[in-house]
Amino acid sequence: MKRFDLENNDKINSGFKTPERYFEQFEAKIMQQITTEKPVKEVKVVSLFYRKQVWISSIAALFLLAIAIPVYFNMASESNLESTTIESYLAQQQSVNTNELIQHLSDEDITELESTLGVSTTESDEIEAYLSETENLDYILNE
Amino acid sequence: MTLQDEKAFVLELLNPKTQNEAFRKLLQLYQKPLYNHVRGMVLNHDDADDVLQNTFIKVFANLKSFKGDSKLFSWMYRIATNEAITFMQQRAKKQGISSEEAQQKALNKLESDVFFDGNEIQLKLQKAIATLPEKQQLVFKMKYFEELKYEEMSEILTTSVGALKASYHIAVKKIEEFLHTN
Repeated sequence: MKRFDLENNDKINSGFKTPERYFEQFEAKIMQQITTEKPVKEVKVVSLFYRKQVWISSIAALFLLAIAIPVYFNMASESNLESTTIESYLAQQQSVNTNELIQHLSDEDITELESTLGVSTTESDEIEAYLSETENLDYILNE
Repeated sequence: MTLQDEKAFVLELLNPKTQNEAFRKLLQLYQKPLYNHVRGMVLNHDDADDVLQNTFIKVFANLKSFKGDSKLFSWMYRIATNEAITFMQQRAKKQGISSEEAQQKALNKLESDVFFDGNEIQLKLQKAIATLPEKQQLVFKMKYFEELKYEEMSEILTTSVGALKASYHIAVKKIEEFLHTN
């Protein structure tokens, strides 16, 4: 069989064909696309900018929320924990007994309690007398 | 087109008043050679049509950034080449196969393609080309089918003339060998 010689044999063309009037139609199609694309592009620019705004405002909103939520809950917890509320809660709460309450009292609370309840040193004897008669004495002495 | 003509032409393309007519001229000048270039790579007519459309839209969109460092001709060929390569990679990816397999598939379809002259030797030549490495295929097609000059190819592919000549001769040898044995 004769060797192929691409350089010297008759040229083999690619064999690719196009549909009839393809290039005329192609030219028209592209011209239409580039002439209608111009205003579309401008709109696109605006919409991109708009999108940017949306992004920025949503990020700003997130920041606001991040700051606002803890502040709100702090305020809420503060206002909810008014001392009168706690007192009335504790008063109604049967399971919280006197001993438990005492454990949560600071020295300052005790002095304040003493003054508001009118307990003075002169009356301490009476208190002792009272305490000696009650069953809880052992427990208090061990404290 | 001389360098001076080209400079004037590029200015026409950039001027909003003359742009449309200049672009029409650009289309008339380059749509056929660029179509052949792209079709040679993607093989199928519809795919070539898609790629050619993207190419001209990209050319139009990027006219402003055309610095004139290279010729308009080679700049457009570069865009078309890149578009075709990207298209082929996506085509393979979509089917979950390698680029070589995708090319083989496109080649098999060529036999029943209405826009292909079903000549046996032409088909055989395409099959022979498909056995070459990607760059060699491109060099061979641009030289043999598109009849571009080495200097032009050098600008488009940013490869030296010497390397292109070597690449083409290797390609020719391999293809002749393939045609002889198959």
